[in-house]
Amino acid sequence: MNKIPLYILSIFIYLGLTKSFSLSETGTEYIKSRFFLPSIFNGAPVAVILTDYYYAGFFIKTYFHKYRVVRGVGNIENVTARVSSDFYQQNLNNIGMSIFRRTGAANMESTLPMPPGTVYLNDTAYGTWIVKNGIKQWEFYRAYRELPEKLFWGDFRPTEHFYKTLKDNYEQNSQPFYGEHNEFGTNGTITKQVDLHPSSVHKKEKVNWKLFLKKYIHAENSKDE
Amino acid sequence: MNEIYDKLIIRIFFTIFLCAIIAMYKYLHIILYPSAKLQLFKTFKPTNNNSDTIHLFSRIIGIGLLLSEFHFYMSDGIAIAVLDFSIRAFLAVVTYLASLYILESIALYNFEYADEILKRKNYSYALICFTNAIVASYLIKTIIKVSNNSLVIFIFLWLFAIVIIGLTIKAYPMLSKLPFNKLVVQKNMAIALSYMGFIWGWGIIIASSINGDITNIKLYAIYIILKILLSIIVFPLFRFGIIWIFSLKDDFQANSESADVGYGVFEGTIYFTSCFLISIITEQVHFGTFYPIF
Repeated sequence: MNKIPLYILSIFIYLGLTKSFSLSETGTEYIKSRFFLPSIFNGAPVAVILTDYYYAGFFIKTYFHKYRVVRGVGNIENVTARVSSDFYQQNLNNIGMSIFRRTGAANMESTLPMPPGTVYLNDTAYGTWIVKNGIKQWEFYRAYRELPEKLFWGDFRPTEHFYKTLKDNYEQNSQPFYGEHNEFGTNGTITKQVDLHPSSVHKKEKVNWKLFLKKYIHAENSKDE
Repeated sequence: MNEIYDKLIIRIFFTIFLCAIIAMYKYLHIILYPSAKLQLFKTFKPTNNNSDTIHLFSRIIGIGLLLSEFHFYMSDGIAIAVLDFSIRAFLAVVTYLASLYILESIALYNFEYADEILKRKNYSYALICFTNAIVASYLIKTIIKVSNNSLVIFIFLWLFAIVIIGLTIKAYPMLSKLPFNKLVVQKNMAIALSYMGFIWGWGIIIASSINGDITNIKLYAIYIILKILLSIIVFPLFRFGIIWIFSLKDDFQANSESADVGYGVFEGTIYFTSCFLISIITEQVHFGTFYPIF
């Protein structure tokens, strides 16, 4: 009997079974591109903020995104999803940005990266524009007072001018908007304040080779260290 | 000092008790192997029939290996400890004998103990029986450890292991170039050595596959199958690697009437070494946090 077809069959069975029972395959959603976001995040209003990204693997890499899903009421939801390499590369500058949003009233959807909380701005169901020091700025109602924290705003409050620039950018350019002075995104000033930088990629500790080799000349067993 | 004396006496008592368990095994053996009555109940002279010596001593090594997994738990008193040990040892001995019967029925279905050992003094047959006895006891020893006193899990794992090792025995003629039945009839040692390396090697793989914590029986069974499938995938790579590194030339001639012992050693060694190395790949690669955990 020819052994090669049997060998190939066993490889396929192994891969099939492993895929079926792998937690990383079954426990996480796979997002191929931004067009898949609406089918994964349901409900309205909803803002999906990219909070982290990283990759795993040596020869073949698997890319991951971490999202914070903020709905008008209720608790926030943290979601980890596998993403395609292209989608991963497209969002390298979008940490802290809302990469998907759906409005409550009109049920409008957008996957253009925008500052977090864009979906709630100018929606009188959630807040109002108030004048502070002669500048109009957005203030959430008391019932939604926790939203700025959930949206990683820190001390930032959008002004009416900010909102208008954002809206013009959305309607005319259809390009990601990182704020008037680059407040949002991976290199955004506000994003940096709230510490939302990619963990695994940039914060990976460098191997200390000297320390690594030193453990071999220790007399005592350092296995538990 | 009293306690020290007492402990010593208890240990000696347990030694005698273990001998009694071995005696129990001897009588149970007759039920499954009536033809071995002569071997077990008459004075045995090891130099009379060397193949019979190998055959008998393989059983003795097997039962020793099997019982080495057992523990005496004295916290609830000596009676409970002895009873607990007896029940578990009885089950182990019965399954060991049943395993031997099944494995020999699969591997040596064309041969009879009385013909091959008593009449023909077939070393090859004796060594194959030796291989089966050791692999059966090693697997049951692992199953006892994994089942953690659960009879249901013990039976499930035993059946599972027997099916897998049975399939392994059936797969042997597919992988080896040596004609099994023909060479056993010829009392050829090459087949016995090749078979020994193959079955012991895969016995190690099966034992290491089942040696894990059982939390969900369905996932555990899938996990075992996956490990064995992975072993099947890696096995030819190691085999090829060893042959290539040591520039071993496969000079077996399929048309020849017999096989040289050297070829049996070659096959057996490669199978055994490959399987040993496979256990590193399937069991000893710790990914830790290399991949995210969900």
